[in-house]
Amino acid sequence: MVFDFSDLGTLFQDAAGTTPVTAVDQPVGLVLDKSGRGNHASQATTTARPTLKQDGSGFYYLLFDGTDDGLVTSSIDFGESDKISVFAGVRKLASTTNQCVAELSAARASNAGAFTLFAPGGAGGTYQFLSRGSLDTGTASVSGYTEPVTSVITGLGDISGDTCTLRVDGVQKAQGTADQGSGKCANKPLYIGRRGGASLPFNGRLYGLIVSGGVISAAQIAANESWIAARTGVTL
Amino acid sequence: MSDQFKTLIVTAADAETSRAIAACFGPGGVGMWTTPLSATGSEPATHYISSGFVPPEYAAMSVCTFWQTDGNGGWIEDSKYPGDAATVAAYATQAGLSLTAAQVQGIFDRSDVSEQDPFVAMDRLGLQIINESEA
Repeated sequence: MVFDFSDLGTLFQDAAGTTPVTAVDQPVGLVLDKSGRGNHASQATTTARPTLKQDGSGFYYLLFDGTDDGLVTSSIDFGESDKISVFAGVRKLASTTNQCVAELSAARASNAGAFTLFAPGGAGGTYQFLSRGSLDTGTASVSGYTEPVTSVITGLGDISGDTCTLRVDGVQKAQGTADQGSGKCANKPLYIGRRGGASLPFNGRLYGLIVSGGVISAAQIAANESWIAARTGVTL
Repeated sequence: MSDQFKTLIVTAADAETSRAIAACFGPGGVGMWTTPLSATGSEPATHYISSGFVPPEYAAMSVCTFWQTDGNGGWIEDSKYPGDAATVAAYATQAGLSLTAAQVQGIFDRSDVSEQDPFVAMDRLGLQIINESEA
């Protein structure tokens, strides 16, 4: 799926998609998936909707307030794929640990084939990506990104290949190689900004998000990171 | 009139009732007050918070306190909008909740509703989000 928050035509204030977002400082209750696969993200609870904002350089983003904001898709069918790629343009604002930017399933630890992208992860100043098959072992973390900071983050999970890779601003920063077991990507909802819509809230800005299953080439990784960077104001 | 930004903090004892009341007003009110707070950032929760945009017709029924800085890093109450406990109770009763206006007023009195940023409001109250473990 592809979420482009600079495309106001894909943003609606309500979850039903009847009231378009027309300006900054409006809540976002529905974001349409631009990939054509129909994996739209929504939020029915009015107070839990992120807000559309624009930074000083003119880049649009969704502001997650760090208390209760989040979006969720319906369950996503990745077919038989056991590989996942996640690309996010993020500005994290606080050092509170384990802030969930995106997670496939309501809780990765309880769902085979899931992933989690944290900003930060287990300590302030970090990013962390975790991926899994039948075993919840894939993890990659990097430090040195003290909040507030803006980055293009890439998480690449490969269950059969036993790799969990984290890239920041187009450069690989960490890779875990533990056995992730077996299986395929989970057919579960994608939660954005909050685990399960219930905990680990993200306090920060999300400029764009791409999630895809299947084999991905180095060229496609670069293209996706460039796409995200162009909407985040980050130079790769 | 556009939606209004509110930070709404209720006591843990009032959280379940508050959620039920909000749900009476439609799907937009379902799922509020799920983020736990305490003074220490650890369980047990003493309060719950929701923060974001509220439709104006619902904001008009809610209590709201307006704050101004005291010049010394603190806050003083500038004014307080009383809300409409009777109307809230009436809606809740229509939806099947057994609540009196006095009970709703009690929730209003024990809650903290403002237009402040959620972390400003939490700081003013000496509260922080309970940071749950990752696993």
